[in-house]
Amino acid sequence: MSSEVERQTASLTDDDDWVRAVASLIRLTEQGKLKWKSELGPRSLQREPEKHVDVVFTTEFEGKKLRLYIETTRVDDEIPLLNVVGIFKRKYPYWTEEAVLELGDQSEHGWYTFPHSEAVEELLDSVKYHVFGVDEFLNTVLEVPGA
Amino acid sequence: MLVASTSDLGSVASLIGLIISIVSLMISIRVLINTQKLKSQFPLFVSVPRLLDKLKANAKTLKGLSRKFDTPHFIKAELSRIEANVESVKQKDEKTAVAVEQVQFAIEAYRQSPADEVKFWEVHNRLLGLIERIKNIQDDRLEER
Repeated sequence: MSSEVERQTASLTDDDDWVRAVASLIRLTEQGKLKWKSELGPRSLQREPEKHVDVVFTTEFEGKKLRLYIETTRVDDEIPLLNVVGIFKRKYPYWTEEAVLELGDQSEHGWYTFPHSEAVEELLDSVKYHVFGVDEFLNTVLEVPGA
Repeated sequence: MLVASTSDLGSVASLIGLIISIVSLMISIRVLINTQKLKSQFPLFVSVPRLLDKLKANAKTLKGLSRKFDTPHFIKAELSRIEANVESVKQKDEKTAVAVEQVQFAIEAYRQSPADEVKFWEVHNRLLGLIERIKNIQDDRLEER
């Protein structure tokens, strides 16, 4: 193995562990082994005026609690002058969305946030698909005569 | 006297002309170097992000196909698309080589036992790893600039 490959392998490890962990959660969710439920976003997630959380998905895994949600953040124009002179044509304020996955214990006194990755976005997609019963809905609709 | 001062003026003018020519030449060379640099970085900053979007779509499709595990022809077709995209990423950015090879190994292992769900999920897993790797490489490059 060349030194370049060794260096790349070493740098892969840290990120890779997180991604593999979330990928396992995706697999367990898709296989129906991890059941999630939805609830309204708690007050603790609504403290900052520019951030907003509508729904939180929660589950338990190996005695730990996991919660997953979309955090919507308002981005205000930090340098209005640039916008006036037409350097940036973006309309302010605008909103960004990011999936957040957190790990906590049974007491829910604190949460550890997983590093953000595409895998977390994928997990959210899977969780929504199963919590909202998309499969069952499609089957029901397709079974309706004339559909 | 007048002839001499006209001659001096001519010398000064030609000296200024020479300096302007040298400066112009230096600017031209600089522009040429920067253009070449931009040209060489085009695949990294334009093509790779496009491929990243394709890989994200591949991962999503593959995950969707896990719900229809009894349709191996769809899975095979998607794996071929993934192989083409990861190979293209590797050609454009050699820093992705290890992560790409991991995806390729996982695909090969799944092809040898297509009924093995664990191996199917390993492909998805490695693909997500590659996506993260590409994003990190892109972020590092933007910081370097």
